[in-house]
Amino acid sequence: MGKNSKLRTQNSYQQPITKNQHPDPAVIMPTKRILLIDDEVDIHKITEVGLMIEAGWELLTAGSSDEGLKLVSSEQPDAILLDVMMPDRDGVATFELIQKSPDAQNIPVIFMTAKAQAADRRRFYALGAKGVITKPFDPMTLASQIAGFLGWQS
Amino acid sequence: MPSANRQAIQLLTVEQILDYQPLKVDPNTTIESVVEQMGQAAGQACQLAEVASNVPQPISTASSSCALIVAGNELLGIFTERDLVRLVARRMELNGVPVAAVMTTPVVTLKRSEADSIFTVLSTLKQHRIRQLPIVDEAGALLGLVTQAGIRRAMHPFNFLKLRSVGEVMARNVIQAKATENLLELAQRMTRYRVSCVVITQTRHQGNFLLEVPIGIVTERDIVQFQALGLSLSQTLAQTVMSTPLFLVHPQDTLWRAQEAMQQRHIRRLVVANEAGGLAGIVTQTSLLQILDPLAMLTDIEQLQQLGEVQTTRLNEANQQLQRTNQALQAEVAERCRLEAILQNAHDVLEERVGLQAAQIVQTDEALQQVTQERQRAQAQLEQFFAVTPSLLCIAGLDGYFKRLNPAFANVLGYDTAELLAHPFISFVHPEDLAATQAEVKRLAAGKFTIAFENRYRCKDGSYRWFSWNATASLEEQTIYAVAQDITERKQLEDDLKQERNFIAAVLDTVGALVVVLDQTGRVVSFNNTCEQVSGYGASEVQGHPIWEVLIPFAERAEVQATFHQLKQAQTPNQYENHWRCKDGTRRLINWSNTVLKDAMGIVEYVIGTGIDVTSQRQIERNLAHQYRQGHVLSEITRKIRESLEIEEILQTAVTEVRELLGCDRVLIIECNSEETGQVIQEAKRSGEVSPSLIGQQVAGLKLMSISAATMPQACACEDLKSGRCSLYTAAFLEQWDTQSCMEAAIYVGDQLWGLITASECDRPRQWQAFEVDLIQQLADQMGVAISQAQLLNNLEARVRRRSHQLMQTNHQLRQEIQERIRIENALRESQQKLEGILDNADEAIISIDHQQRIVLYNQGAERIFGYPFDEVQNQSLNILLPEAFRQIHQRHIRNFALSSDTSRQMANRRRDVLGRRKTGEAFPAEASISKLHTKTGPLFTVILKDITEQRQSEAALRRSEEQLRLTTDALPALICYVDTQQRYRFNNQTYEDWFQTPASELQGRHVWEVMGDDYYALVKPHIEAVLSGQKSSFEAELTTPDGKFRCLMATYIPEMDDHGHVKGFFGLTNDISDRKATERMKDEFVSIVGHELRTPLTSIHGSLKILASKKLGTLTPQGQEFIEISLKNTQRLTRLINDVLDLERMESDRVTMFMQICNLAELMTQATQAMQTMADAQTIQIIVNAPELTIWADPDHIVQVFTNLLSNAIKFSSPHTTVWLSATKREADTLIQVKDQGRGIPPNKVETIFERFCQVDASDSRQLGGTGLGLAICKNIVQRHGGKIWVESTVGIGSTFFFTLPDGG
Repeated sequence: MGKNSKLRTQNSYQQPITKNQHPDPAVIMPTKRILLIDDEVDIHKITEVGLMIEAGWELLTAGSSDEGLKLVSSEQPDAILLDVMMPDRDGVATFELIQKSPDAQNIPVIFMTAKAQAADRRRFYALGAKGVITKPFDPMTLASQIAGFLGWQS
Repeated sequence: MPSANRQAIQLLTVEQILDYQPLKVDPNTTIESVVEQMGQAAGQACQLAEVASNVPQPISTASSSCALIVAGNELLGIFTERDLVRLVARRMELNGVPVAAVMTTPVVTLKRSEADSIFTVLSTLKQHRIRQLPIVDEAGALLGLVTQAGIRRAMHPFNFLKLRSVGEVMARNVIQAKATENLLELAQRMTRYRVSCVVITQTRHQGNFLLEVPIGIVTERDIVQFQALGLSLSQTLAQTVMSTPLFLVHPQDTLWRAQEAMQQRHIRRLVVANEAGGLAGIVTQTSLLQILDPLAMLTDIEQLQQLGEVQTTRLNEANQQLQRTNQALQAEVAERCRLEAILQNAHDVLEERVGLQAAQIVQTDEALQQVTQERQRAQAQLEQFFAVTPSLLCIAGLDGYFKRLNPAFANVLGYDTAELLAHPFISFVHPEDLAATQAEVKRLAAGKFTIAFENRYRCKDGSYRWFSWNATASLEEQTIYAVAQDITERKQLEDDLKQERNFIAAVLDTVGALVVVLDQTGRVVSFNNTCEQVSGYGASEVQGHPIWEVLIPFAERAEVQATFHQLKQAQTPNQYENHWRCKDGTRRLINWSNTVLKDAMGIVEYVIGTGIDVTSQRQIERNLAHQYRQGHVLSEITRKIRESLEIEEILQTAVTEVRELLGCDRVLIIECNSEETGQVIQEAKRSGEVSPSLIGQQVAGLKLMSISAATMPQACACEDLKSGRCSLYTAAFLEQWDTQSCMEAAIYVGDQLWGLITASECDRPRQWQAFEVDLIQQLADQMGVAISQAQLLNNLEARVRRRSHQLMQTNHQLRQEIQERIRIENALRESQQKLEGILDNADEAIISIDHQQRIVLYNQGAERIFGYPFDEVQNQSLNILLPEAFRQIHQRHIRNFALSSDTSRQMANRRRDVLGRRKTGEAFPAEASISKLHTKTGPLFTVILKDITEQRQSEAALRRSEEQLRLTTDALPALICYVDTQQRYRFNNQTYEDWFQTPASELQGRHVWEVMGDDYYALVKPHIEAVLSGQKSSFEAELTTPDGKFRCLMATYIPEMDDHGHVKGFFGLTNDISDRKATERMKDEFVSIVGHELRTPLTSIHGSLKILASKKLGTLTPQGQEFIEISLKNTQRLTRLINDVLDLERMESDRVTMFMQICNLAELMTQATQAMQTMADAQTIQIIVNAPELTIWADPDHIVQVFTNLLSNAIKFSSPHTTVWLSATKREADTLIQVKDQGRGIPPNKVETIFERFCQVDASDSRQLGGTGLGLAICKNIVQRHGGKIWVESTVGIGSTFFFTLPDGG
């Protein structure tokens, strides 16, 4: 019950969401917990708001690769959004560490990158990424994009 | 009915689940005390929980999973089991700590007025992921506590739990631990994973799998209790305190069962095991409450209602069905009554029929009695007939006695019937017929019939009478029924006839001719003695058989039958002949004459043939004819042999003719090589003979030494080689080749034995006739004569040929000699002319002087060089042509040369040239050589002199030029060198010397490897080899200089060719590009960083704008919304611009790799069109694609980029309601793709520049239409990197068509 706290109780986005407000199919998805590993705090905020408004999903955030790896193990999120260019360790190296971790290797990873080249995309998919999201992205359709990559819509 | 069902489902009210007396503690209470109270409350749980009734029961704190911290009526905080486990896991010291220090505050609560239904409560629990929810009044005073456990207990009546299975809701990710782990570790794990329990498992082997089997469970509550008991958690092992054994449920169990189990056992979670017993998951209260999700529940209720309606409908249907069945049963009862009446009727009818049948039987009986009487009458008639018939009728037993006899027997044989019955019937039979009669009785006993069997019975007076019997036996009665005729008179007549015939036959047999009598069918009736002698068959063997089947050879049968047919028609032919095939296989020729015997009707009854054996007579005639023919043939062969002078032809004719004449299998001619050996040189075989040809076979063991001219042997023959008595020379040889019979004769040429001729049969003996032996001997003689003639001729011809050949050779040699002489003469003449020409036309001066150094020969070249005509210098001293200072030395030189043994020498020494003097007095440098020739008039010196004034001038010019080149190259920063084919330096500039810190004098002539060192040489070696093979080579190389600097070099090697295309050496041009490389690297890094650093803030700006534009955070004024849209549009454009700039930069710096592959063009076109469809639809522009099924060799991603860029341009610059076409055409060596629009077009002056970056038709386009101005530049780059071309054709106001080509490749 440690989480039974002030967290989000007065969060203005946490409106009960009804079907009438959101005809988007993503809304009827079960609640998900997504971990975003990105060194850009502004992007944390945008992503959190986007996922919450669109789908009511919870976002866990990590500002560095190391922090992200800790949260992956302790929080067991449903999916990981992984930035490619980070100061301490880049996304590909982080991904390889996730893959080696026994309690995290089954968590799907989606790369978020400003490198939009087809060759880069191919490389990420070849590594085992479940999806690649190009920056800048639309936060209001991000949940649908993730759900599309991970087959959550059905 | 559905409405009734709906009312039946009552939802829980908040009061039913509210615990009005939760565990409340003061803020200053210590944690131990709180834990103790929670533990005690938990201990009471079972007792209190059993107090259940239908009345909504206030839920007590029975299983208190938390404590509420209260001061007065104010709720300050909450302390839960999970909080405790967390504290324990952190090993926090808890003694004496007030609960206020660790409680959670503020508390999530729900106002009673808001808690209108259980769903609100559940939703709040779920939303905050909590398990306890205090309910407060409007003033915030605590009313009670709602817990998950309370809700679960209260929802007892919800039958729809039965509709859900455990598997649907169970948690599958169960936190497990081993029995040997301690409680502290378990508590830490619960905290880490935020779970309320840990399942203790044990690994078991199940077949090939490892199975985790649950054996116990440890819960948060257990931790609370152990803490309350003061146990040391780090020293307590899970196995000692875990709850075990476990009550397990299975995934397919209903939630109802799970709920019941929890209720009965007062537990809050159940472990789920699969069929194998392995751990499958866990069901908790939270899982059960999941189904109370309002949406899901409403769905369930609706499903239940629908189910109810369906069930009611089915019930009604079943009821109607039952009524229908009842009606059917009643109908069946009525039907059965009707059938019973019909059956009664049928019974009456049957009784009537039985009466009728009885009457019929009586009538039948009477009829039978009448039949019996009839039969008795017939029997009496038969008896009468038996008595009076003249035939002998009897019935006898198979025991050999007569049983019954008619009176005829007694009349014929003279015995009393009783006498006959008293003895076995066999005792009356004639002794000669006894065996036949007994055999016939056995046949009868075996069930056979007797027909016309004849035997003799003894009469009482001792005479015998012939009977002919017909009989049959009844095996059941062991009885023979027999009828006999007395045929004694007929037999007597037959005997007489036989005697007559014997007499005639005896007469016929004595006749010397063959006499044969045939019946109408051609069967032999009579065959006399002569016939038997000739044919070898006995008369009995042929009698009864048609004559042609036995005696006539198959080939003549048809003819004989035809003749017989004629005879039957009484058309007696003249004499004729046919063959008989005798018993021993030989054939005899018979000459026949015939007569016929006719019966009373005039029909031919017998044919009588009388014949004479003419075989021997004909044979003799044939032999005579054959001999005549042989004589004729011999003379013919002899004539043919004599006519020819060709040995080959003579021998060929001889063997062929002899073989045909003798009709034998093979005829050979063997030429003898010595007395022992010979060789088969000619052969004739019977056509169709399959044996191998013997031509060329060596014949050994001839043993001819005994033969000499004096004892010329006659031809001899051997009938059968296998008999072993054979003296033929060739016997041994022929036997090897399947020869059985043979004849040979020797062939002599003059007195010399030349060879042998043999005639042979392969597989049969042959009696060679004397005339045949004579014939072959005569032939051998004739051949001898012919061969000697032919040999003579051959010898003559050979001598003539040899002589002709010698003559021809001599003739040929003479002709060649003449031609050679003519050629030499011509060559000499030509040479002389050339020499004269050379002398006159040579640039050199050629001057001959005599021993007094007077000029005797002076050519035109000398005239040109010195300026004197010949007549001015003739017989002048050579001094006239020399500068004065040089004259003495020169004369001395010539004298020395005259005395030396040399015949020629150079005239200049190393230091200085020879100098000449022209008529003008001008001295000039020259190269000269002198030679001497001893003539009759003394030595003759010839000087050949070349004016080298121009050469010296050009050499000086070259030196100046080289100096200039050196100055220029030395000034260049590049390393320049020239290397020969031996890889030795021939030229280098100053920079080269500086780089290698070696002066030019040391570089010249040294090997490249010596100067460069091993490492650098290894880098350049392949390029040196390439350039020396004639290919220009450019490359970049990185190396560390001897002073440790890292340098990057770019080198170009250019081959130098001579006039024949052979490489003479190469020029090396090497630049130090280290600085340029460093700049490029910096640029790459800059671009990469800019790409990232620009996009990152863009991502935030774009994302924020998107969220604002979505209006989810509140509504802006219309103007505000408009600015948001503008900002959004421009961030998108900025993004595109950055992407395009980076794309283009990467492409132009060659850092983009094209992944070339075979692609389906139609698929790529469709993909691009689909991507652009939304944009086209927005502008109401139609895209028409003509995509033929073609494959191209391209990078699909980049080609799609070209398509989308071109389509995007076409759409952007088109007016609404127009069309854009995308099409492709296969051409000879490439594919042409077109994108055509009906837009505003491009002015001619822009058509060329439009593919350059940021070059748009109108500079405002990029701003208005959101383009970047880089799309076409990117397209051009991609197309060029595919080896294709891109261009545009456009008419202003009409539209534009963009074309690009992709060459075939792969």
